[in-house]
Amino acid sequence: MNVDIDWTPEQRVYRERFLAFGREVVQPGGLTRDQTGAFDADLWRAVGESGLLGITTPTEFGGDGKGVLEFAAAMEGFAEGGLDASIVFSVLVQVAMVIEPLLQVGTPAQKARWLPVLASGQRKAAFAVTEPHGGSDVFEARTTLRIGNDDELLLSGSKWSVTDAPYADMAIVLGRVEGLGASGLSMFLVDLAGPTVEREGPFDLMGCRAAPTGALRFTNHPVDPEHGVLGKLGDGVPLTRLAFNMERLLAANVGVGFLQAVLDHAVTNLSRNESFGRPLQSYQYVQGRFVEIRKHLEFHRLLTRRALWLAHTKQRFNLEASLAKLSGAQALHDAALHAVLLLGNRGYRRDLFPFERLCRDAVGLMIAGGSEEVQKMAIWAELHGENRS
Amino acid sequence: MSLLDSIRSRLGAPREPIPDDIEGALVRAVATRLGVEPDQVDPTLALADLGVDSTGAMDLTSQLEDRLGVQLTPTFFYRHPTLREAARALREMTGGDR
Ligand SMILES: Cc1cc2nc3c(=O)[nH]c(=O)nc-3n(C[C@H](O)[C@H](O)[C@H](O)COP(=O)(O)OP(=O)(O)OC[C@H]3O[C@@H](n4cnc5c(N)ncnc54)[C@H](O)[C@@H]3O)c2cc1C
Repeated sequence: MNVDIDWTPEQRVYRERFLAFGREVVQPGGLTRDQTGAFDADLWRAVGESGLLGITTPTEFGGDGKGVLEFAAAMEGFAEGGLDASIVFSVLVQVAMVIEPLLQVGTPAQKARWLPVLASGQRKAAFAVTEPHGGSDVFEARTTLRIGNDDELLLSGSKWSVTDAPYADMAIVLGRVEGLGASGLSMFLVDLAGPTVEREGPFDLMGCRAAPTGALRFTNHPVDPEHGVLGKLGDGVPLTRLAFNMERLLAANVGVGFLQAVLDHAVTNLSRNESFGRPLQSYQYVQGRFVEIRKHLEFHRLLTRRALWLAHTKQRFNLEASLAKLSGAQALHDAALHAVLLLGNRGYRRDLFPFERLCRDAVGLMIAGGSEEVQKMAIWAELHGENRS
Repeated sequence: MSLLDSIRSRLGAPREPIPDDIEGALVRAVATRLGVEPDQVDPTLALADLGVDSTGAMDLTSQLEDRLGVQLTPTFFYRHPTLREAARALREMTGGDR
């Protein structure tokens, strides 16, 4: 067997660089951002300037021209150092759900228009598929594009529970075409400027509070008649799957960074405590919680690295990404809860430790990008040989 | 092709008359797709069990829309998994009692 799941030296440099950035720039404001529940534009600007968003974007569009593994290494460090799932969510939407599909199926004109401003963070992107009537049945989108009297293309309908919708400048929007059924379901590239987009939010969330979701209401909103569709007309289903797969893969990957941080912080902080005249860590029940966190970390890292390797070598990774996302969200929740309990009353305080916040954030990971049940349906479909797209 | 032009051409595509025997037409379409004889396609089995994956089901849905001029959702075969159920739904949609 020839297995080495560690990062290469170059990837390790990315990891270390964004670990340091996370510690210095992201971590200090995490508590305040969680309490105010608002997107932090200054932080977003700093993230843009750090180069994180452009790692996979070709150099001709201002990026680093690297692959998914370099981005994953950077995000693992960024998550571990920053301990802030909100900004991680905003980054994942931008890179996994918008930049990646653009890289894979965008036309030269679309890439030239969007990649430079998205990779630098000058523009914030949203990925809008969920509608108020239900998100799991995503292909039942009611948002509709029609041809207007002067041959303009006009989009109407509501998207809902969309990360960063209150602030986004552009969005990929799943919708249908008036007069066409399933064969018209498509991903539209939409500039969100103008009075024909109404926004609602930020919604007051349980977790991931500084990447708040919101609604986008389109009323005859103009869509570029030349370049307004991503991929081909009718590619809504495969492109939604593509974006969700990337999101699952990369969301699972940040779980590794978060789990490592939970373990390290818990060990460091607990070592200061004593009870009944002995260090807490000398008690086996206490040790058991560390073992659980470590177990989650090791299992999750192995599964995630395998999924990443499949993606890197252009193999199908749908099954592994769904499994890793499903188990990773649960692992993060359980590990963060262990950390809360290990630290007792101090662990329960928001102002001292980020663990209760991570517990809440992990629940967001269980819903966003497909609920647990939907992940299981996707996993079953893979096992059953369906969804071979 | 621009987005506007592709929508126009999709909307303007000619439609075939709705066949009297919708179930039979569905069976033949699936048989062609799978490379088997129509009598090997059981209309009471779910598409997945006939060996048509979800991408194939999507293709079939689009094909039906183009040919029959009906508007279906991408999950049409998820809601009506067997060809018999699908044919019944299509009959209701096209208003015929065929
Ligand atoms: C933090 C966060 C960020 C998000 N960001 C985005 C975003 O950027 N863009 C976007 O488009 N959406 C986003 N979403 C929405 C998310 O994709 C949906 O919430 C999710 O797909 C579930 O849809 P729903 O909330 O409408 O729940 P529903 O579809 O109404 O489901 C409710 C419950 O029923 C279960 N259920 C539904 N159907 C079935 C079934 N057939 N079998 C078994 N159980 C079923 C679900 O698993 C769930 O538990 C975000 C959500 C969260 C929480």
